[in-house]
Order: sequence, then structure tokens, then C-alpha cells
Amino acid sequence: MPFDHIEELSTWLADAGITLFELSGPTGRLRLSGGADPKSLPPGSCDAVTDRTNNAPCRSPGLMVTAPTVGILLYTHPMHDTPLAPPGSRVSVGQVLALLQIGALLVPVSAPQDGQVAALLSTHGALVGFGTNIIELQASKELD
Amino acid sequence: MTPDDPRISLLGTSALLFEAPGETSLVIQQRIWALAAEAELWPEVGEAVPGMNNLMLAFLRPPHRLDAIEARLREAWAAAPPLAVRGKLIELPVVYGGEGGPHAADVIAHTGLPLEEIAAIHSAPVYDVYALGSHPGYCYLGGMDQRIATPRRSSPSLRIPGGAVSIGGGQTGVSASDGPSGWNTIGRTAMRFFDPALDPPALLRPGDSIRFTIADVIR
Amino acid sequence: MIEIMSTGALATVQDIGRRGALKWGVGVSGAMDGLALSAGNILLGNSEQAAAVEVQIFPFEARFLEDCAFAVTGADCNARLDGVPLPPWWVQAGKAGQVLRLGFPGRGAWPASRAYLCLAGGVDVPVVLGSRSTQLRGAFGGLEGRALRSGDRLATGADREATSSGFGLCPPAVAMPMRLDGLPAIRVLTAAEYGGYTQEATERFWREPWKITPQSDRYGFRLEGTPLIPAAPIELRSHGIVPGVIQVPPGGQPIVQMRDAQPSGGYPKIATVIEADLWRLGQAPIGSRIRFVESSWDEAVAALDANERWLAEARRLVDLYRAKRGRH
Repeated sequence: MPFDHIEELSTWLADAGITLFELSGPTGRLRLSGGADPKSLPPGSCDAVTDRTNNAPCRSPGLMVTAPTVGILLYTHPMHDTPLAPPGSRVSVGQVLALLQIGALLVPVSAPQDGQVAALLSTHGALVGFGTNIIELQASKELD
Repeated sequence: MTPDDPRISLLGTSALLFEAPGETSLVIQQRIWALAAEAELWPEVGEAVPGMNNLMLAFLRPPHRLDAIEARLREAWAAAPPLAVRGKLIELPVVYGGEGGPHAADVIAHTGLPLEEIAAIHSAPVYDVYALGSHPGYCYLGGMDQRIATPRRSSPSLRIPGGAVSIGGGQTGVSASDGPSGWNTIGRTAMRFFDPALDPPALLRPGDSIRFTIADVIR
Repeated sequence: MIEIMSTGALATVQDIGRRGALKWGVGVSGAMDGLALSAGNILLGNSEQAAAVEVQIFPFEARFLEDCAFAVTGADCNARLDGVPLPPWWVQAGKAGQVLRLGFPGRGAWPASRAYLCLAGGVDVPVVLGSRSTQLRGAFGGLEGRALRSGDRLATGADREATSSGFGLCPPAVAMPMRLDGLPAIRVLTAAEYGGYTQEATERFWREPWKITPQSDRYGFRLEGTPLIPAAPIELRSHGIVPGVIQVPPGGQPIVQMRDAQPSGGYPKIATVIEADLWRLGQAPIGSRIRFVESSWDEAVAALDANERWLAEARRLVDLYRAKRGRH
């Protein structure tokens, strides 16, 4: 399935105010979503959000780690200047991958299992809602 | 405000400082004790702390209106009678000079008097305890002969031992424990001035008296 | 209960301070960064009076002898529990046998110098004259009136309940920054002897950076800069002072009286750091520089209110979050 124009398609959909677009065919399935998502997708499908910063090529999708509550999303702790879990980094179950800030309170977005950070799915400083995709994890058993 | 009026100034938002005008005297100090007793009852005041003819009011919370509390303070001062206190007298033997008097030379140089005379002048009066401060149990004493007054040091010493007898400006006192001091240490005495397990924890309180006696003079 | 494993000197048990004993010559002591201590207590659901360990020299190590929730606030010191990094200003469940290590404070967004190891239930040492703060000069309070040593064991309060963990606070240094010309700004109110200084001296006081010299500690911060000389020598009678008072001995180098300062003095006072900014100054590292900013009474009181609001809001959010999570 050709994915060359996914980003362009995403932009058109977003501009049109369409938040979910699915296309199924014999070779696979395309799903474009601009909002809350289920935690994981069936194998063989590919998920790309309308966030233009995500240029990850399509591959076997990993585990979606989502926001446990509403808040301001922080990939980097306010006292630090490097992200908590940069793409490519190995993480262990329970590790803090990102933070949600509510006033002065910082709530963790934690790794549900061991794995490797495949992609950051939102933006540092964005206001996110419950269930928003925050990080894509490649589960450990799928790694080399 | 004139030089004859008390001076009120701020210590940040934490406290207010009231300074009585005129020469330091026991009568003024007794009025300060009376003012402290009254001010300590005010709702803004956490603690009223006498100094040498002055009073610090440490706030519980800083008042939003400063002028109101300042006016109240001036009124209370004007009405404050001397609070007579019948205290106890203790005697402290002092070894003047030597290792226990590291700054005796500075007092000798400033006053032009020999150590024996400084010791005689220092141990002559009965000193009134005006206030406690500086460190736990330390007494600020009134009544020192101004002939041996010596300015505080241009930069404080980092460590002077407990029992050190010192002169700072026109005042004298005895350190109750080891610590930094900007005063000129002329001698040493042995005495326990403070025990936090006791109530009150300090040996002496405002209204008590001290007499120094000469145990030795070491040139 | 925790055991101190290795510490440079000068780690002490401190709470929010000892009040009401000034009349005995007993100063307030207490945490140099009261906001960080209070935040740690909020994270743990502790009483506001709970005591903690103030760490000034790093690295610092302690072993948990029992399960105990804890929070490390103040300076970001690369806290690691059994080698695993913890976010700063975070409440974490400690398990018996685990070792907590605090490393050198980083030079990140907020250069700071003191960290607070707060424990669920608070550090359990006797209350002396109304407080658990260490009174170093008088050798009482805290743990036996002294700095902590390797081998010391600190118990925690009996009213500790199983407390939630795994969340944190964004520090007030981030939420309420205060800088002038790239340096931390400390607000002050002028003091009684301010008018005794030449115009040149007072201009320098406001305009120049002041360096925290190595001779700075809990008693006082000795600052270095162009000497401040009064128009005429000033000799004062001894009077009460508070932490924050900026004394100027005749040498002209100012000394800011800090938490362990004596509660009275007689050197001239040029200004006093406002109570609301004592935590900021208390965290300034040795060798760093600061600027003084003149404040009005109303601004200074408002700054204190702002600190209180930050704490109240943090307490509200943390209490809600802990209630929502339930106890585990």
C-alpha cells in the first residue's frame, strides 16, 4: 500500500475537520485519526496521526501509551533539558516516559511494559485529553 | 519625627524594630520590658524581643497596614511605665587576657589602658541583664564603664568559645557557647547559661544581675 | 527508618523553624528553602510541621531499613534509588534495603545547592522548644543538636499511613522565576541604616552583582563585591535581627544573615531580604552571583501571599490526586 501521500492526506482531512478516516483493502488498512485512540491496533494495520511532526515510516505498529488524564503534556521534565524517553531509548515497565502537568502537579505517563520508544506522538506543551496517544512503544519481544 | 522620638524601621516583612531615643539606661530598658509585655499580646505579633533599649516585634503574619501598628506602638511607648524586676545576682570569676583574651591587645590599643586597669574597670560594676539574644542563653548587659568601650571588629571572628568575655562598642557580654562573634574577647569564664530541657531554659533573664570577679590577669 | 551511609558534613534535620524562643537568644533555624521542605511534606501528606533531612554536601547516601515513601525536593541532584534515576520533586515508595543516592546538583534550569529528603511521617526526633530543627550553636534539636554522620539512624513518625507515590510537583523556581540581567534576583526592603550610606554605595548595592563566597553557610552568606562604605562610621546598640538582614561590617563586604544566624546583632543594616525570597537566596550556590531588587512593603507582602498560594494550590491538587488514586 502506497504511503507516500499520507501526510498530505492527513492535512486535507484535518483542514476539512474530519477526525477519523479509515480505508481498508486486500493488502492492509489505513487509519488516520486526529484524536483519542484505542490503546492498540490489530496487527497488520498502520496508524498515522495528523500530527505533522511525526514522519515515522509505517511499520508494524507498537503499543500506544496514552494519557491517563487531562493535562499539559511534557516530554521533558521542567527542570531538565533532555527528554525523559527519547525515540530509540530502551525503557522498562513502570518507567516514567512523559509527564502531564495540572497546575503544579506532575502526573506520570508510565511504560506499561518493557520496550523501546518508537515515536513521540504528540507535542511538548500540548494540552491533551484522557486517552490521547503520547508515545508509541515497540514491545521488547518484537525487538532484535 | 525628631531625634527625640523613637525610631521605627523594618526588618523585611518578618519584623519591625523599635529604638528608644537617648542614652542607654536601665530605666528605658524597664520601659522596653513593659512595652514588650503589651506588644506580645497584639494579634500580628508572634514574639516581642527586647534588645539594648530597643524592641523587635517578630510578626506572625506581616500586617497589611504598617501605619496602624506603628501608631499603636508609639502610643504604647508613650504610656509604658518602667517595669521593675527583682532578679537574682550571680558572680562570674574571669581570667582576663592570655589565650582566653585574643583581642585584649585591640582593647588596650584603642583605650590606651593597660590590661590590669581594663580588668579592674570591667569587673567593678554590677551589670544588669537587659536582654537575651545573640545565641542561646547569651545576656546583653548594661552598665559597662565607657572608658573601655571598643568598636566591634571590622570583620567578625568565625569562632569564639563559650565562656568568652567580650566588649562590643559600649557593651559587654559573655558567650554562652562556641560561635562567631564581632566583639573583642578580653577574657574567659566558666558557666552554663542555657539548658533546653529546663523551663525556662536560660539561667538568666532580663532583670537579673552579674558581677565579674578577677580570677587572674595574664599579660 | 533510614540509615545515613555517607555524608559530607552539614546535613541536618530541619523543619520549618523554631518560633517563640527568640527571647532566650534562640534563633529560628529551619530549612534554608522552606518552600522545598513544605512541598516535600505536601507530596507525602505529612503535617506542615514534619521535619526532613537538609542535604548541603553531595553525594549523599541513605539506606532504607524499612519500607517508607519519600520525596526529594530542592536542588535537582540526580536522585537514584538502587541506581534507578528518579524525577526531581517526586514522591517514591522506598523498600527496605534500597539505597538512595543524591549526586551533585546539576547546572540545569535552576542552579540550587540544597536538597530535602522528606520521609512519610516526617523525621522522628524529639521536639525541643517547639521544633525539631537542629540548633547547631546551642547543640540541641534535630539529631542530638549536630550534623548527621555516617551510621546515624533516623526513625519516621508513627502517624505515617501507606501513602501514594509515583507523582510529583513542578518546582516554584520554574513557576515563579525571578531574574535580573540573567542572574537570580532577590527582593529586599531597605533597613534603618540604608540612609547612612553614600549615594555611590547604594547605587552599587542595587546595580552590581554580589557573589556568594565560600565563607557562606547556614549562619550567613558572606558576599563579595565593591565594599559598601557608610558616610560616617555607624555604631549601633545590639538589637533583634531576623534571617535576611543584610549587615555591613566596617570592612564593607555585606553578610546576609541566614537561618542559623544569631537572633540579634549590632552591625549596620543596609536592607533585609524579604521573607518570601529567603528560599531563593538559600538555594544560591557558592560562587554564584545574585542581584538585589528594591521592593515595597505591599510587594513584599504580596510575594509572601504568592508563596502561600503556590503551596495551597499544590496541596489541593496533591490531596485530590492522592484521594483519586486511593491508598496503596
